[in-house]
Amino acid sequence: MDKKFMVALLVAAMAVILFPLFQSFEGGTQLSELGQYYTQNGVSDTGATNLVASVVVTYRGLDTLGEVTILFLAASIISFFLSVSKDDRIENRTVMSVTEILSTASQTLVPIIVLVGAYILVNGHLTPGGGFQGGAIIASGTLLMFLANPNHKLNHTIIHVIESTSGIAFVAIGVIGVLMMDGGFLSNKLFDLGTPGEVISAGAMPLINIFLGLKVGTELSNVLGIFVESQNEK
Amino acid sequence: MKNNALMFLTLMSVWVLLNASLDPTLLAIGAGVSLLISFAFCSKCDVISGINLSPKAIAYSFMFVFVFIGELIKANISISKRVLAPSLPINPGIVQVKTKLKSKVGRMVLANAITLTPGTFTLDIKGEDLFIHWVDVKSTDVDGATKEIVSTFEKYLEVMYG
Amino acid sequence: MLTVLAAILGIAAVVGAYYAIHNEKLTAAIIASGIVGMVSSILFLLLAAPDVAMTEASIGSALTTAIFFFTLNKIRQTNG
Repeated sequence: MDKKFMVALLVAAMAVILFPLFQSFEGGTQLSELGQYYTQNGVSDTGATNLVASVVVTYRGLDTLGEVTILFLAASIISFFLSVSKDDRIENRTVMSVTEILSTASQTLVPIIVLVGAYILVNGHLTPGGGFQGGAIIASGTLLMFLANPNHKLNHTIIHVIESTSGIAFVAIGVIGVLMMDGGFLSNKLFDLGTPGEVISAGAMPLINIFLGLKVGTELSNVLGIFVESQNEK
Repeated sequence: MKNNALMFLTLMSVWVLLNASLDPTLLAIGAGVSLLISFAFCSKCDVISGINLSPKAIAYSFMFVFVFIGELIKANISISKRVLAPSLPINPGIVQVKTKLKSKVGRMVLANAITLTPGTFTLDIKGEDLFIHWVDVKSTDVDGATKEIVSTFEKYLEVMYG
Repeated sequence: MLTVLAAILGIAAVVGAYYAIHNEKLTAAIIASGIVGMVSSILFLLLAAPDVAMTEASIGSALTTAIFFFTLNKIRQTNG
């Protein structure tokens, strides 16, 4: 049978399977029990006005730790396979010359992109955003830096220090929550909850967000740096 | 050092605009972050110091915004006409033009203004030459093309960035 | 209005994905997959998920595209 016919058959079968689901779909008129709990008690429980962040960082903080671990594993594996030893490295590889527009624009834009990332980290418990988002934006600033100057060298020592320190601090906050409070792992009540809506509020959440963001940002920047450096292999 | 201070001030104003509040805690955090960034990511940024802050330059900056919007509307109408016409009256090509601007940020703004107006696209800058892809090439020689594309913006940018 | 915008963006995402799969030129395919990321991040924003939109915009359309390009260049170097 023709391959294209088989593909079309498959697509049609999928449509037949999915169409009844689409037909019988009725939007929920009320939240689930868990969702109701989060919306009613989220602000008083965590002191954060960003409910998504309060779920990600506090209620389901253990899952976030898992995500960070996966990201860390991925970054480690990439640096294990792609890192280039000193003997095989071409110093100052000749690359296509970067146009003046890009190099000028990157000088102004990289600091501002990193500042926006920091803004999202600091306000993670108040407005949309948080650790992962801020870290990803910081990493895209690094990407722009690499595009403007492909031979740029990241300082791996500083990156590793920031990454491991923030990782350890993240876990330490979680463990302190277990030891000192009845809240359990990653308890938010480490500090005073404060008034919702202010910068210094929501207990340990801003700290956790900042550590998460630093860890994610440095990790992704490190991955980018390794990819760029792997181009220099002989 | 002067460049770092200028970058710090720029970042600080961006921070205040982002937060839209003058809360002392936020300002303190912003100052710390801006200080860190202005030293970590700004080892040799001489871009910001190219900006001229004299009253005349500021007045010209406002005028430039209006001139740019006017050019944008004109170019959009012209390109829409070309796209909608069945005969597709285009004559694309790459032309070389010259600029008198010396400061880096002025050249960047010029290149981006040319790119943002539909129909012209800056490909590269080499020395004082700009290479521009033009949908409707009206003149192939350097001087004619410079007069058509660059001179409208350059008048203002020369005052703004010196 | 919102539905129309969402429909246009959704169609753009599907067209970009099709282009990414079926294009012979790998560079064009990578750009197309970046466009899919960009469009879906706008869709997330329309569906009232700004935090997901932020992640998708920076990771899905910027970092992944760049990493694909680095990998492509590396493969071309290795294969000569």
